[in-house]
Amino acid sequence: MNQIAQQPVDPDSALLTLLQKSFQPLIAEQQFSPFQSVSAIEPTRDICAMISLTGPVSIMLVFALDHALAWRLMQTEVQALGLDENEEMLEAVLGEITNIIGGNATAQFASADNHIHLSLPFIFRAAKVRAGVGEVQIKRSSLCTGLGILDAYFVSPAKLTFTESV
Amino acid sequence: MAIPKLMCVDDSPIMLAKLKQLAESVGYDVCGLAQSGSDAVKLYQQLEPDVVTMDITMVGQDGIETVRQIRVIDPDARIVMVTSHGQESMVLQALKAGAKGYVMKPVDPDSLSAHLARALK
Repeated sequence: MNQIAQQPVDPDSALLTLLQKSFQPLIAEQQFSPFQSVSAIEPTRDICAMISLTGPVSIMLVFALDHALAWRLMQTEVQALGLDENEEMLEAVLGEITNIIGGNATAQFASADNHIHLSLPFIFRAAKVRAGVGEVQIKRSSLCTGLGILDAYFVSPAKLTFTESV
Repeated sequence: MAIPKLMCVDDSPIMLAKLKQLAESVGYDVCGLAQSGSDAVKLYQQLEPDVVTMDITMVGQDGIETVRQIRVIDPDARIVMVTSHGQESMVLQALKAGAKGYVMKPVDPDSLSAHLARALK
């Protein structure tokens, strides 16, 4: 595994770079705002994608999107691949993007001696998310587009409870 | 020389489509796509591909168990794992199970081509 970074990195700037790199090809030239501390993950958006990194660090990444923006992300991906546009593909695209961002974040935060485990990505529809027991630091960066907002949350330690509402 | 036959296994339809597109662009005949480990084992027996790309983390039967089952059917099976950072311990398990190598996501054509060629040697 020789691609693991050896130097400590500033988590906020590393994540912002990852977010910009991962979403920019799909949503033109908008920029994510700098990460700012927030007290909770809100407001609830239409769809949430989350992935956790556990090991020497315990981090959860949560992406909360308006549906129209998520749909545009899906369209951009599937049109290039000649696939159907539907809600299943929307979840698959979000899962894959989340997985890749989580994987890259893992590479940033891991060292040769300290491996970090990456969870599977989870997608929640109309999920209500709240902080779990204990002290949880939550930071948010937002991407505002004409189709809606994408809030990216950086949660440490990774203690959150998701409640899916229909 | 015949075009090598490739089977791709991933529970994400997006990744399957991307891998197919990438593999075809570097000269492989993608003969089969499987979205689960159990489907992959059945399809492997039917298609007898020259090489397989295998996702590690799949819902249900994971890629490591799928490698084991395919290697029981064909001890010479050539399987390249497709993985993310953060799955290093699983990669090691897959290599012990008989995988020939691994390629990191996001997968690019050069990296895929190099790893598949190495597995086919």
